[in-house]
Amino acid sequence: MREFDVKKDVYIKSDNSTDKIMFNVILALIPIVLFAFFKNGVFAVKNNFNLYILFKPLILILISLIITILTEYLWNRFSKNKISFKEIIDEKHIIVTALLFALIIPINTPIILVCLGSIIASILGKLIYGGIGQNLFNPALIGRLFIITAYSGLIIKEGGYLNLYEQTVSAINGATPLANFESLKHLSTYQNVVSPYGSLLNFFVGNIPGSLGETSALLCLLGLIFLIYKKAIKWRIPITYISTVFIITLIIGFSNGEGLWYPTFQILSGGLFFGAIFMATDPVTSPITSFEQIIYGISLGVLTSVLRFLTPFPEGVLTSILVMNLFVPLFNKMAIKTRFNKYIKYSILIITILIVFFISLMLSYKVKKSNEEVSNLNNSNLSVINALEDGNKTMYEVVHKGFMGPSSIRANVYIENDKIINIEIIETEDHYYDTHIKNTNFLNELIKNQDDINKVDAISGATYTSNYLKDLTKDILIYHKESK
Amino acid sequence: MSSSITIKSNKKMTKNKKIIENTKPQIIYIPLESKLGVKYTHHVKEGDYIYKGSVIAINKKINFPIHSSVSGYVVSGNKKIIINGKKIKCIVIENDFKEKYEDRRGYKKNISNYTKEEFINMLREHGITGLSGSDFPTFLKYSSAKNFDYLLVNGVECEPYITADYALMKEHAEEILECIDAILEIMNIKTGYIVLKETYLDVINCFNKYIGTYPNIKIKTVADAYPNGWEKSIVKEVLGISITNYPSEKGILTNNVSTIYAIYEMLKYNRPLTERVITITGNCIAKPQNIKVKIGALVSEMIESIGGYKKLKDPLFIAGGPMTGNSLETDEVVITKDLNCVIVLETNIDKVSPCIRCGKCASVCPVNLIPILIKENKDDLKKLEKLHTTKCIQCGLCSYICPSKLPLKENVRMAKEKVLENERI
Repeated sequence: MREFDVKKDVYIKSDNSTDKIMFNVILALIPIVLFAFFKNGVFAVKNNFNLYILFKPLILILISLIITILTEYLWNRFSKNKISFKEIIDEKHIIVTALLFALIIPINTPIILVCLGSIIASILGKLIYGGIGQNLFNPALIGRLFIITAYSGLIIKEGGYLNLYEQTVSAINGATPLANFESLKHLSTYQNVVSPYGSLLNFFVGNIPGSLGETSALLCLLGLIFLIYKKAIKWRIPITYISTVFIITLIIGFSNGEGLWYPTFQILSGGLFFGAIFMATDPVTSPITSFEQIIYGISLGVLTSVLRFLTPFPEGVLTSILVMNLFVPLFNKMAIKTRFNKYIKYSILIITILIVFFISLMLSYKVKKSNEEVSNLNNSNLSVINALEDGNKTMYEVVHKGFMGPSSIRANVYIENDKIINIEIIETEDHYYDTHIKNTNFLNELIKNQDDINKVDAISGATYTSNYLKDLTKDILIYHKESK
Repeated sequence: MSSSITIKSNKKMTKNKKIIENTKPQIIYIPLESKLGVKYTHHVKEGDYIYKGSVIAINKKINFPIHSSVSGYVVSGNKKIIINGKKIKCIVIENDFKEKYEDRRGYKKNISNYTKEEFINMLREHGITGLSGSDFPTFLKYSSAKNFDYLLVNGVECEPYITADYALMKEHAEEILECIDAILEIMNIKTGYIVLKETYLDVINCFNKYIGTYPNIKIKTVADAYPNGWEKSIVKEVLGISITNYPSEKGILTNNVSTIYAIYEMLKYNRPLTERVITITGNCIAKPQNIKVKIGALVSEMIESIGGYKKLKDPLFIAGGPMTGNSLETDEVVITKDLNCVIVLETNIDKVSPCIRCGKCASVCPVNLIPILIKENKDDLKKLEKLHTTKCIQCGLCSYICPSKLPLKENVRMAKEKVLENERI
């Protein structure tokens, strides 16, 4: 007779492990880290070499890693959990949190804020709940939320989301694609929305302004494929999330006469791919069951679209994920019902789909209305303050919308025999006028081509001001004809 | 419903080994209670001489007997551990190695020469039970419906390590086919299917040698995944029929191949069920084997007879398969009709880490439960009922797949027991 230990459960286990899942996530993130280095480091210094700027992306990531690991270590030390430093480093999920946090912050985040954010992410995002598995919110998002809400001014002052090179590209005008989209009040033409950043291919590859590592949809997609292959991701969430945003914006685009580029632009900007693939699928903060993951993904899509179109906060992805994190316990409760009752399950699915279409129509209507407002506004971009008539000569004193505001260009326009003979810029807040236009032949070009104003090319570096001046020329002629 | 996954089969150790025999145990023990708690009543007393094959205990409720697998004298009773780890009072018989039957038993040429009633009665008298581990009396199955349309013979044996059925099919393909044919004739069933894993090419070849003469028997294969040998899952897979409780409600008869072979021996030689093939395997067994043993023998004696243990650190002794079996504290375990495998292995199961809510347990569950939520609500009876805890078939996939190595199966089992107990009260 021989004695044995007794152990209850199964006696063979898969070689799945939490660490393996997290390790695969890290592998999927490595190309993105490299991309962040190339885009925001190597390319940022192509006109203006600077060793610090070159390595800044890697420095930010490294700092985030070090601080996160240190925070975890010290926290465990002080809460008397006997975990050695090596064990902390072996916990791959800590590295994932640190990487994710670093990749969703702007390149110009001051180092001190990176440290602060990492600490907040670890402590407020995870440790105070009792460590991994207990947290309600995605830790990296908590860290980001904290530094963006508390110190956004500081980050903007440092240059915001744009790397050194992007800051010098005038077409970009200092804005991320969605900020630009938002500022255009949804007056969205391909020229206005996409062209400043090149083509949609740039969006797909990731060569657009945005957070450190969230811009490349291509690499995120490759990461998704890798993680699906490794069975390390709740793939239903990103697929339904991205599809929902696509469908909603497709409907909005179509009902406003825009083509397929419109939804494509929408899904490729604002870090949607990164958020959907790496942030929304954080296992701890997403629903357990597959059906709820689908509903969760759709809800995220709806919420992101609503945030983009109804609020002045264009970057809706990360906010949506944080908000939806809050409802995950509810989704898990719902699972108990839907799992065993097909009727409830399909009713919920149908209701969700109906909500998607309702929201799409509502947003379409809203965008249509605001488009109309914008085009009305366009007509009144010109306001005539004074008109002095002298025979067949007229001098108009006008105010026109400029880049800096609705009345940023003041000018005198002289018309003789229904033709503009001179334009005098009296005053303008558009500083690009002084730097880029004033000393060129641009005004004369406008006068020369006043009947076919589109022939005139905008001055590069002052595209907006050029375009407003073109509008001014066109509008004053229309005004002149009408007033006769 | 048909979620199943490929798992490491670990069958190599014994897959291609011939069945060896050890039918000479010193002493046999016949427990008076089964793992499901079914009680048997004494039919003999201390000092009686028992012939091989005579009834020594009986389940009075359904008049279902257990037979002695040896001949010899009944000695004083003793408690022994059975498959589920419980110590049960046994009838103990000292083997005199004479293998004496009470009456002479010849063999029959035509094994299908029975009426349905005779056949079902024989199944009862000969103590035939499901040998896959269910311990369900086979005659009840055969009398559970008036007419059956299909006979499914389950040779999938989807659990890792176990190769008893595999070895039996390889060596007795002809007999199994003959028996299926006889059952089809007796029970007036149109078609019989032998269900195998698609990877069992050897076995398929063995059957193909003889199957030409049996036009009513077909071979069907299922994917090499777990739990594809589960009754409901093979019925769904082979016939496309979903069943809620028992296959008989849809006119389907299912039997394990080992049971079929036991029926063969009953029909051919008039033998009661007193022997079976078990697999003894695992990395702590010196020479893993498929071995034909007497019901009532002790596992420790059988392991000794095939070369004993290899020395390894902290081995576990598992009665049954690695997914559904039980770890026991000693190897002095009685071989009952429902024991198909003994595994002695050193496990290096990693330490448990916190649940990361990956949801894999829910996605692999063949009955669509959410094991992690059951674990988390294990004290909340109301929630457990809402979570349909009692549906669990204890396949163990949740525990197998869990990346945090949580003992989900065990937690669900305890929760299930709690709910069932509450229902009884």
